Amino acid sequence: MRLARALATVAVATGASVGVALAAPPSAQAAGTAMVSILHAVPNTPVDVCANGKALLTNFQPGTLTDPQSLPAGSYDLKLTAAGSGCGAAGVLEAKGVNVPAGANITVVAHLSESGSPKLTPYVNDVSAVPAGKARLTVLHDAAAPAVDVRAGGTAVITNLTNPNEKSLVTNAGTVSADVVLAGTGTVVIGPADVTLKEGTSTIVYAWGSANDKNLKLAVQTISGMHSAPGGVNAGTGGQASEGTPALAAVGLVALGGVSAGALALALLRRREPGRAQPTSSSIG
Amino acid sequence: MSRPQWARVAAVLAATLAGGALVAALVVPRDDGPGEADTSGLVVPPASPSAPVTTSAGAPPTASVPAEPALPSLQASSATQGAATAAAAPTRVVVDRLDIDMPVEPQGVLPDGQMALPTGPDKAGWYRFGSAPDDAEGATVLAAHVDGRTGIGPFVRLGSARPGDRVEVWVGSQRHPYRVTQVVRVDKLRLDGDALFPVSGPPRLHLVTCTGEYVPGSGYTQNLVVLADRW
Repeated sequence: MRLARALATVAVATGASVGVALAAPPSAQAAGTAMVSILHAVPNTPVDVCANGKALLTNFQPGTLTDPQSLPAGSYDLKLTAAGSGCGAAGVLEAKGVNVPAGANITVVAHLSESGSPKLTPYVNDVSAVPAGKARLTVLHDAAAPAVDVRAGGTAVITNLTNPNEKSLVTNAGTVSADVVLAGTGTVVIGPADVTLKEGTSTIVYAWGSANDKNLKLAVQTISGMHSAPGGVNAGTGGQASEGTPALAAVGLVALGGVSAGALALALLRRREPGRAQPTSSSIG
Repeated sequence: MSRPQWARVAAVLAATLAGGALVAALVVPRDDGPGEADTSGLVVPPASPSAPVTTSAGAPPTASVPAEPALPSLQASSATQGAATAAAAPTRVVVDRLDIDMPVEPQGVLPDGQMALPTGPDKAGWYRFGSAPDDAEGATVLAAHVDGRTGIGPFVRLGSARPGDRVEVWVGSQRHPYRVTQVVRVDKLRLDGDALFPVSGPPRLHLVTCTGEYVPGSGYTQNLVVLADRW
């Protein structure tokens, strides 16, 4: 993922036609298209967004995000111009040959570099499934600010994150109180703010703005569809409702092979000792 | 388990593995056996030995931009999280004909990836990361232990459920009626979790408990699943 992002950044920085294929994660997208979102994270600068000379979006305000849009895969020349000036005007920000690979889920972010100059960075979002009950949290540093740590409930969960990098983790679904501190310190620069991590989704948090201008903020994007089902339901702890037919053990034996032979053996033992009390299990059985 | 018992287990195990005839004699074909057609969709199909593995070398470099790309006009909205909207949780499940009337509470996932359940068999759990009765899609999954240390619970009577039975799920004071369509017993090892916990497709109700033989240490060998459509 980071490699993909790095390659994409190189593409933007050089403006060269990109011959390097991004390592797009597997996705349900139809071949030949990509899901693209655009986040405006440059303070105080409303813009028009142009792709290949055509307006995609006008009067795009800082702190706003487009809905994911399916776009044909390919190479795009992106240009951001002052709001209302149209695609013919000189660009506030420009990136030629931005490669949008088929099947990828990408967020293009207009943001400040660590030193405070505007730039465009395309990030490839991880849309792989998460286990049942879990959610993915990704934090991106898109602010004119030094390295930071991200804390959840007061505990650092992401450390030493620098512009324009990202770090990701999979954690229990729920709501966390998150804040951003200067790396290795307790100096809070953003937050705390409640962030809801919905099960089976990816919550992407962008730290943006400028430390010097004291307008650091969080922008949040949520991507859904990464849900997994529980492995099953173990719904008996006593054994009183046991049917105890040999055929059932046999089914288990067929399915599990040698592993279930132990279970079969136990079943045999139990039938040989009809007088023995039903065992109870200390685990959920 | 005491040491002599283990020794006996080992002996039986050895005999079982060595004696193919014994194994063969015990593998009794059964109506839920591996060869039986499954109409519930809950049973994992046999693995295909020749499942195609597709590999991708990544997206090829694109030679040209579409001449007249049909680029859409995009809309932007505030990049903030709205207030968390929790689905309205079921609170009670009733099956009159089977004398089942149980409270329901939200449950999540155990560390081992199994659905968590209320401790005792007199309460049902609702899988809170799945669908709810108010949702337009997916199955509301309610599960309860069939028994516990204190005895057998009401869900043991799901074994007597029949197609056509009426099930009512209450969300607070709102009643959601369902009609039973199928009663399925499925070996846990062959259970398709995605089919038991679907988040899309028609709005349905899945009532789940355990059945089959109880194996100390690992529990019951089967799940009993009652599938129901909206009444």
